[in-house]
Amino acid sequence: MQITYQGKPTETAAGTLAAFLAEQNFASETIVLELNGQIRGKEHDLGATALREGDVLNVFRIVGGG
Amino acid sequence: MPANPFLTPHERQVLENATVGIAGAGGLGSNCAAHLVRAGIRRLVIADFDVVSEGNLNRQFFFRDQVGLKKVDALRENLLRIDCDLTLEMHDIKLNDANIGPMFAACGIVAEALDSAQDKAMLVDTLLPAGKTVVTVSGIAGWGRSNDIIARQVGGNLVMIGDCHTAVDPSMCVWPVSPRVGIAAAMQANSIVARLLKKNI
Repeated sequence: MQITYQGKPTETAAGTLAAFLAEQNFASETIVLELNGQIRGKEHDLGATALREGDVLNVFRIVGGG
Repeated sequence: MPANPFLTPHERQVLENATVGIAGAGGLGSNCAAHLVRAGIRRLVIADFDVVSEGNLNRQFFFRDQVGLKKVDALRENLLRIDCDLTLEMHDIKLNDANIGPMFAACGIVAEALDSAQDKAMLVDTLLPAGKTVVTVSGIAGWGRSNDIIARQVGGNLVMIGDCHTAVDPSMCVWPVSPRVGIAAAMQANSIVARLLKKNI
């Protein structure tokens, strides 16, 4: 399946958002997820969020400093 | 005389009627607040639990004779020196996921100006679902790479400013310092004013 990830065409076998993030080693990061223009916050179960052909996914790291 | 005489009557009305929240009064929050007041914002809700220290003077909008004061008290004093006709609601409190919603209930837009990644994420995760517009910052430590600090529109109601990479890391001597923190704080204020005036961020 091909999705657009961080602006680039990306092949993945991950069926869910959680699986894709694990594949990309984001497991222990604080992040903001944007799937098809919508933010998927902590109220969403990422393990139950299916990834589909053509999805547009952006992941932004939240790092400390202020 | 208002702090910003260069507004149209409509712009002045929009900015003066807005209530902007600022979570944190450190490097980002104190400088963002000063920019907002100079731009024409009159009503601010600002929350911080900390005290001005010597180590804050490298980037924060405080002065040496304010070391030891609560940041919310020192910032109130400094903002009123820019414009004495402000409505400032200052809260000496540590924000958490239980108090942050009620704290900024009156604000349509909130600047995230906290230190830790966990607190930043907590703010975004709590205020976005509550319908607030949030302007957050990620990745502003160190020197140089000014052009890596960008403002991104994420989803409908989130603006993320920074390089999303460069964390404060004392073990690697990567610190928050005035130029990069100041760029991000100014971009926060610029994005907030732009959102209020319905211009591109």
